[in-house]
Amino acid sequence: MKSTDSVKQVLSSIKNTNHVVLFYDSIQSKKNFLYSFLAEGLENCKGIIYIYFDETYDAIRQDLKNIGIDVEPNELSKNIIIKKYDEWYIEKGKVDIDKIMGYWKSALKNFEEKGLGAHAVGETACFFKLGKVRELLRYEYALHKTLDLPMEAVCAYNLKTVIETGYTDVIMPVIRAHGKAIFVSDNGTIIIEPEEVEVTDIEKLLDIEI
Amino acid sequence: MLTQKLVDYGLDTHEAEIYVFLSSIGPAPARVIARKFNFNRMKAYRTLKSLEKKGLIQSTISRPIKFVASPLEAVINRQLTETKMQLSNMEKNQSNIIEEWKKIIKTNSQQLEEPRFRIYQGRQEIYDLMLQMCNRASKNIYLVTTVNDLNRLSYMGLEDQLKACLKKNIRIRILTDIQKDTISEVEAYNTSANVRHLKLPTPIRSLIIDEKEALTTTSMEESINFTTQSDVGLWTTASNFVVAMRIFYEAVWDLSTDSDARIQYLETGILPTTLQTIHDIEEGYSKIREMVKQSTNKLDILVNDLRSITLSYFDLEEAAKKGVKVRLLTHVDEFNLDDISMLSKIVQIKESFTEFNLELVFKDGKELLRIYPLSETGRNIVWSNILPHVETLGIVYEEYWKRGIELESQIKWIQQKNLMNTLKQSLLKMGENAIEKILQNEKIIDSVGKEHVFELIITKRVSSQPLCINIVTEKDVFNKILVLGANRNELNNFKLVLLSWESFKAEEKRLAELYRIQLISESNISKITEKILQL
Repeated sequence: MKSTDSVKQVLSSIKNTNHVVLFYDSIQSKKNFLYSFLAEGLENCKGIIYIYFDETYDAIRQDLKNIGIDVEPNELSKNIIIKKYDEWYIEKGKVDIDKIMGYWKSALKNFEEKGLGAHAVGETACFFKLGKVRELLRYEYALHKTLDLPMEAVCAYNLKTVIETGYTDVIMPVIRAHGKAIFVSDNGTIIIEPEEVEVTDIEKLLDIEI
Repeated sequence: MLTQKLVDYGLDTHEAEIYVFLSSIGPAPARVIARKFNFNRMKAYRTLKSLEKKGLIQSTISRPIKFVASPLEAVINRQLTETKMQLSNMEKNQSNIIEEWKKIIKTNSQQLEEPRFRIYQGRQEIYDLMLQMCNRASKNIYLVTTVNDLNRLSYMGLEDQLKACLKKNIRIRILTDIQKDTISEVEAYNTSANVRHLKLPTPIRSLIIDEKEALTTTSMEESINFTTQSDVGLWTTASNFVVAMRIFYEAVWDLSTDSDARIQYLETGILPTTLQTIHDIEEGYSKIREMVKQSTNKLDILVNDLRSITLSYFDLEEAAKKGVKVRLLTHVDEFNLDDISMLSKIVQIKESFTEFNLELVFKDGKELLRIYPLSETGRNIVWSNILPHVETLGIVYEEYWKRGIELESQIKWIQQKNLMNTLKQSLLKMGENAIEKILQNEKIIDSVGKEHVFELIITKRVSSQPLCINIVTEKDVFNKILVLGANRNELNNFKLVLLSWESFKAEEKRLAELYRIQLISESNISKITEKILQL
């Protein structure tokens, strides 16, 4: 019996208001999953939002084009929003959770008006590289396991960055902040559902206020 | 006796005896004198010539020459006259001589600096000397003595003498052992001197004046008797000795407690707010034991090796029995595992994550003792009850405590580590033909040049991929899989194995498969060995 799942199987398990965490071990395995997720969104009448850190704006646009997405007209009609982390998550070195929520709501409202749902991806390595991990955890828990927002959201975590910046211990609390955890490697994809943990325990463990 | 009286007039004994002899027998040659007094002829002549020169005898013009005593009255009169004249001349020249001497000592001051030492015996004599010394002071008076001694010295007028010195801007310091029943005696000196408390284990007294002279006790008793001879002191002007005493005094002064703070403590029990440096490690340990003993609420301890601060199980048990909440951050290893297990019944213990050699003890959140790592200046220890200082380091402790490893996990890890040694032996025995080499706690280099440490690295004779094995515990297995998984692509040339003495969960198995990590869970060394040999 094969214990890994196909990307297609995993994608089909992600539903509206799902808050999902993705751990990837290489840029290639990340691309394989995320671009499929975004492409599937567009195919199913959903707008897509990509908050990036690992690569450049142009590289992402090119990759999306390469998998057959018509990037330019969709960007012009604001069906595709590609933003750098410092325009969305960490503006001028600060993490303002209310402001981030405001950005999500505004983008989703725009989609909603056009009758679109949303597939959103946010790369989180910026929080680790810039020492904003506590703020990230507050943000993740503020989103809740089941989102209050009408979208399917994937928070993409670079496993190497998490470990190399010394935050291995936050992996489990991050998983618990989400409804589903997806692990991708060149060898396949698996999805696991985290156990239920009281938010207060997480607060005590991490000394953060959710 | 006449001979003796003549000696008093300035003759030596032989001269006096010869004069008396010649007076009684009349003129006599040198030969007779020599025989009478058993001298050789030369010595007899020399003595007779000396007497002749002094006018006490005269020689006759005869052969052999004879000597005859002069009348004594004339001799004495002449002697008196000469002495009077000499005295008169001395008086007349007194001022001139002193002036000339002063000129010499100005140009040749070393003559004055020749060190002088003197032993003084008897309390009265010592007290007189102390008052004279204070009188000679121009800059500093440093005194260390008992309160009883200060009390006795008050009767001798030391207090007034010090007040006078203070008016001349002389700095006066007194170190003494202030106790509850001696507060009033100390307060009497507080107006004329800067008084500080120093615990004196035995009666001692030292007085240092400027950098010029010092008196130190060699024996001293504490009775009120002013005429006792059991009070003995060494006085000196030897500059090296005086300077050395002054340096010691100043060092001790820095370690002493302000008298007001000491009196406040004795009257109210409230310790003065201070930061105290302790240079002696034994004294530091003794302070820790005192803190543990006095704690009423909580004790927080960070120490690399509990044995190093000589704190025993019984000290901590005493505290715990009083209801004191004790937290201990330390290193737990196979050598102290038994002690730690016993201690964990009364104390909350965590494995300290830090290797930094810093040791901290907090008492009731109000006092702190910090032992700094060994440096060129020795081990510095600081005790403090300055609240911001205690609270700041308290935050550091809390952070360390949060990051400490639960004792249960640490014990499990140690037990597994021990089993790893057994496993290595078993592999060497059972896999003698299949295994080329086994390395323990060694590193490998991945394809991008990064180092990874594994507990066992096994190279087999037939396989090109070495087995890299780490042990995992129930609690850290998930993270350990992810740590290896994150680097899996760079470790493609190795077979990665995680070993547990307990079974893995289904999601852990799936995750391990995703990252191509082999999991072995067995509780039997032989079975583990077999499984490893099959990989």
